Amino acid sequence: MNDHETPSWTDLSQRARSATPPVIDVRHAVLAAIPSRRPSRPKPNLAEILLSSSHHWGVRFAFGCCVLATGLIGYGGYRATEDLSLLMSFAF
Amino acid sequence: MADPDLNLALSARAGDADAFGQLVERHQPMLAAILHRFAKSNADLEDMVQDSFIKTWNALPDWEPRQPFVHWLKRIAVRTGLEYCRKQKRSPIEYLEILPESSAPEDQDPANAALEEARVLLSKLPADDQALLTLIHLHGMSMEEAAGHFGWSRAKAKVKAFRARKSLQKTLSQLGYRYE
Repeated sequence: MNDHETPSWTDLSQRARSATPPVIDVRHAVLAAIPSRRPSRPKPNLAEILLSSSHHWGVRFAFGCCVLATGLIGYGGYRATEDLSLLMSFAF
Repeated sequence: MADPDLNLALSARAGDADAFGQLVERHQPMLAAILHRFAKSNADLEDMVQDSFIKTWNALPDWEPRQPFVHWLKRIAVRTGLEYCRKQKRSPIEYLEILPESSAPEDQDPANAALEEARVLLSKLPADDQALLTLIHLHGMSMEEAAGHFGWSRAKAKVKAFRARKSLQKTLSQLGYRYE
């Protein structure tokens, strides 16, 4: 490429690919930074299990069903109480 | 094909630091080759390689032996490179950076000088674009490979690469380069 020519990105990136990385040695630094023995992983509790499995569609579906069921039971209870109070008003 | 790192990685996962040391020794040239494309200096490169191995050690309990250890390690290294790009964006020093054309020493290796020039040009882009194009253009990775390392789908990588190239094209034309 001569000086008057516009530099080309393709040419530049091709040349850059052949660059050789410097030789490094981080082994000692890494070993100094990590504990010699890893502490054993604590057993996951129920909340962790639920959280880790929450991405599964089955778990999401079951959760959705629970919310729906709770809503229906709550609504049913509310209606039943309303009917009961109506009945009571007739009785007394 | 059997994973040649399997036994060492399993020992390391069980807490054997010596086994992990052997993995570090075996794979540090590969990590240096990837992260060299991101690093501004040798000190930054050493920090990134070291950081990648420490992250790997800490994440070993989550490693699934079904996937080759080296693929997983590369993925951690690429993410470290991406974090480095993001960190550089937040640093005010970035604004002081100039193209190396006038500052590069005459005796510098031409390939390394080209890498430095290309790296500075890519650093003008947003961090994610910079990291993606570094892997594709400066490391020679395929789009699929780069997408896999970032944990992106192929479609997402394609869209990102398209936008990144557009952005690079604009930057290059402003700086008097040809994009072809």
